[in-house]
Amino acid sequence: MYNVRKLKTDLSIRGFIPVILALSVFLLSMAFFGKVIAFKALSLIVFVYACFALYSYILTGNHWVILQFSYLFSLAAFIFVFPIGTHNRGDMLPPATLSFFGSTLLFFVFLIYLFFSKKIKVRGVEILELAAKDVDETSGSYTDRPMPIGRIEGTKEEIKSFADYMRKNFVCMTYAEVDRLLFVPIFNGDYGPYFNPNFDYRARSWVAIDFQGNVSARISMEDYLRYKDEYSFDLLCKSFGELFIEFYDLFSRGEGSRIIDRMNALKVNPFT
Amino acid sequence: MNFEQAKKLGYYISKDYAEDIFRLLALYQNLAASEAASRLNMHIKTVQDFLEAMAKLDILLKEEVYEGKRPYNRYTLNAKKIIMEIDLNSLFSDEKSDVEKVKRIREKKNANVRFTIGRDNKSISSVVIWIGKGRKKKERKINLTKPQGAFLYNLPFPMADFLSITDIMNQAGITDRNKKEIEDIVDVLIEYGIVEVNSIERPRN
Repeated sequence: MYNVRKLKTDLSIRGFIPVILALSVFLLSMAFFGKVIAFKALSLIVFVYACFALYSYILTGNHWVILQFSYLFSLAAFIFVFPIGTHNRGDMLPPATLSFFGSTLLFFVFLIYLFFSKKIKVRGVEILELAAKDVDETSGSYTDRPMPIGRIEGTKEEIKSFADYMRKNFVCMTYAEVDRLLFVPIFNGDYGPYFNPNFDYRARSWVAIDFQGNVSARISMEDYLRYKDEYSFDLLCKSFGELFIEFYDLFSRGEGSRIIDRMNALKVNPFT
Repeated sequence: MNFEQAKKLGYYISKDYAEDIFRLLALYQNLAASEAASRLNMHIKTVQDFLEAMAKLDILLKEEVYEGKRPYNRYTLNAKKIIMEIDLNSLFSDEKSDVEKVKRIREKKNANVRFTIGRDNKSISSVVIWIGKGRKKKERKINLTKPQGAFLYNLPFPMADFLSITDIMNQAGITDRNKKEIEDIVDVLIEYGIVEVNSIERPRN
């Protein structure tokens, strides 16, 4: 099924920042300190990334992230133990190096699977696309105010379970307040939600569900500008909020996997 | 007495010399401004303004007299009591008409306003309106009552369908008891260009 994309093409390189950073450190270390230090520095950076992956597992509870952590850890170890400067061509690599090389390759294959199956893909793009699906264009209709959307029937525990499910499947990040939960869509290259303790989630687009079941929604100007055209903002906001009500209905009926199916059906670029 | 007249009366009665002038008016059959001014050792203009204001409020009678060729005014007390009564009925809306004008409203697009969400996350606690442009831009903050905050939280977005004040109140769970304060804040927001109106007339129920 061909879907007309309502969001602009994402040309941001934010998703590549970790790679750019690692390469920069590697090249600078190579230039100033030589090969051996450069590879050790690279190994350290990759190890730090592995720790970040582990931290995101703790935050989300998504088991697939363990594979990502395993790959990064294995890669860091491989780079660290590789005998730079002491290895001659034709010599057998030390057993530790060979082991880590093998494990890195294996986890890399799994990672390719994860990537194309979108198991650890953030779903901000899909959410905004679904929200705009049946919304018409108009101009000058943006407002910063949240919109009351409606109500869901659910207990505090049920709403919290729903939030856990959404977070675990990378549909969105969730933030708990005194009497409500906020569901915040995340995009590729968004590191703040995971690693910034002072992340200002209220400045982002969100859907809030309080423990009485009242649902409200807000779309930030930043996310509104992701769209190619100016859409009728009140309808867009309403659709955005109602999307989460629909997601909740699916989850509460035990059909949470259909949430993922709906997003996968959009066939959005896995890099976004 | 309307607010304008009451303002004038209150202004002059509150003066230190008011009682003195009235004492003279009570003692004398009639009084000229120059006589009162010299008697009380006051500037003639001050006394003149006072007597004129009281005459306009029918507390004094004014008579033009001639001394030689020059006309001047003499003032006589017209009442033995001064009662300040302000009729507030004019401030209430006229509900006698058969047709009522229904204001339908929504937020105006690109309005220079910031809505601050209340702690309950279900209402607006205040609005900040920017007035003017460039360096002359001023900020006006209006703190809202709870019903007003709940009302504005449910205000239709720009370019959305207009909704009547009653419909928005129903949506926000606000009773008719608070209607006057809601209409007041709506009038303020219309005045500042934050809210746009589409009025329709319909027969009163």
